[in-house]
Amino acid sequence: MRFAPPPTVRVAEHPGGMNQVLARSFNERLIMSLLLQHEGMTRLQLGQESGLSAQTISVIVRALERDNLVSKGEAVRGRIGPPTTPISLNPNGAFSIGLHVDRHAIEASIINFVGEPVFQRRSSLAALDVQTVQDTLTGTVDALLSELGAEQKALIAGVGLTLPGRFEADRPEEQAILAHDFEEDLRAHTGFEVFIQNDITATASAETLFGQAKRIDDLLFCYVCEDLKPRLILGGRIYTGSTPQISICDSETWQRTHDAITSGAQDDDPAVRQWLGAVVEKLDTLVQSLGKFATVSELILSAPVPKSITDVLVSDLKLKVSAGLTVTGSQFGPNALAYGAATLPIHSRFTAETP
Amino acid sequence: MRSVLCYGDSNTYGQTTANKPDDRYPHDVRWPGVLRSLVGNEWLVIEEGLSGRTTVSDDEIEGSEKNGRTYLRPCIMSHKPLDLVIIMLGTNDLKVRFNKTPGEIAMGVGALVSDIKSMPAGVDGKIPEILIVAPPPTALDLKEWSDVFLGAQEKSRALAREYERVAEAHEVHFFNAGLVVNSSDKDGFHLDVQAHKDLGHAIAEEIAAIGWPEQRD
Repeated sequence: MRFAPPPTVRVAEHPGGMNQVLARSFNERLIMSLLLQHEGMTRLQLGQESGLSAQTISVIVRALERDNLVSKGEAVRGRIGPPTTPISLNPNGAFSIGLHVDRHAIEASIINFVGEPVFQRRSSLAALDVQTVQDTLTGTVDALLSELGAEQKALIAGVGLTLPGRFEADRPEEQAILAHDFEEDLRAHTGFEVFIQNDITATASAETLFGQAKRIDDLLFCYVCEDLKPRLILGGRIYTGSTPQISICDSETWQRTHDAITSGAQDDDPAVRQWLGAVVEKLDTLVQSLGKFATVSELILSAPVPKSITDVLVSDLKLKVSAGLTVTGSQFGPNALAYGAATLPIHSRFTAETP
Repeated sequence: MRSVLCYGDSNTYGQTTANKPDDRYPHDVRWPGVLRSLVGNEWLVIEEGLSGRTTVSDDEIEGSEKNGRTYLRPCIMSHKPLDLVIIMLGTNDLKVRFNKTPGEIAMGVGALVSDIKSMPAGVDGKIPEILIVAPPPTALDLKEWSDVFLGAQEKSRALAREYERVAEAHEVHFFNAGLVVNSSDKDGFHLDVQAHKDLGHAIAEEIAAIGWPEQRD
């Protein structure tokens, strides 16, 4: 029995803001992970899913409520609503910034706590060297921040930064980009925690957190552009490490095709048709060879193209692969990589697993 | 049928605001009665309110039987097995004779929680669910009770926060009654009829919000 004064806990009168979030217990992260996966759960369901006691759930939900990370239901009186009102994450409880460094541009995005895009931005890179990338990154993040009010700024969970896995090995200035510590630059410039990850791994993890893979444990995620970049997700875990990168076309061809798509070309355009054909062929080969050692019944496709093109890609692929494989297009659209970057801080700070 | 023990002071007993000794609201007016009318087909609602009950102190004026701690153990043993114990105490600890800070009053509630947890009073020898209810603050004018409750106005306003800390430290349920009811202006620290009704409804919601698996026999 203890007679010492109870320890200090977070209380409404002393909001600690996002800085306290890192200190969140594993159990709190567990509850947030469940709420990220399921839209609205009762305290009873949270207890059954997590294995935590009713009293522990009660304490955790109150703490999350105080920090505005869960919505207070419809009612009432500054506390959780009637028992039939399920508990949901508050979309405006936290925000996250994502920056993706591409060869030609910085893709940027702000998402809210439930993964809805709030702002998006693309800033062209005048050159591909450390100084230009650095300046464009800070300029872009400043531009994004200027869109937010002071209240929202205080709720930023961090900055996610993603870089492509491969630059041209024979260009020293591109190698210098991979070697440079942009993480530290951004931390110093913004004062936010910065999370860094490979671009494809980040967008695959975004699919598992907010996207099509939310409730699927085993799947193959593929990002297609000039290359086919796969990530295998088994048991909800993304296998990173050295993943194959399968070439679909050369950079110049891809650039031309992508420009055409951006200016409105559809699948009847010969260049687009050719790219689509090549993607389907490589994907089919990949799925067949994968089938030799792992059974995956879901394939999620993401590409930096509008939904109409992704839809054609999905239906073309469905004709080719066996009926046992469900093919789905990502909902993240052309900004999937910036979106993936923005998901990193949320994944790292609020969920029980790390990507 | 599940069972809930409502362990409290005069505001659970149903002392009226009329300032007549032992003047008590009828059973269906006091909040445990309101609760019974709402959940009575699923819950046995056990009323255990006593005017003047403190958290853990003998009262040298009103008598040692007002000590909420010494009576808690036999009380729980009489009513076990219990699914839920609700504790709403602390108002009497505000009396100046006890010279307690809000934090110490909350620690008294914590001591009661520890006592309950040390007894196998729940179903199948488990520990029952425990709900700490912070009493509403006193009115600013405590009328003829002003000297008994010297300084209670300010202290009572700090109770909910201290209670919540104790609830977190002990990992138990918490509800701030001050969110739904006020002490009556008539005598400054008792609940009127409407307040009993509102509190009964709020407690019923809190009980349901805890989430109870399947109905037990």
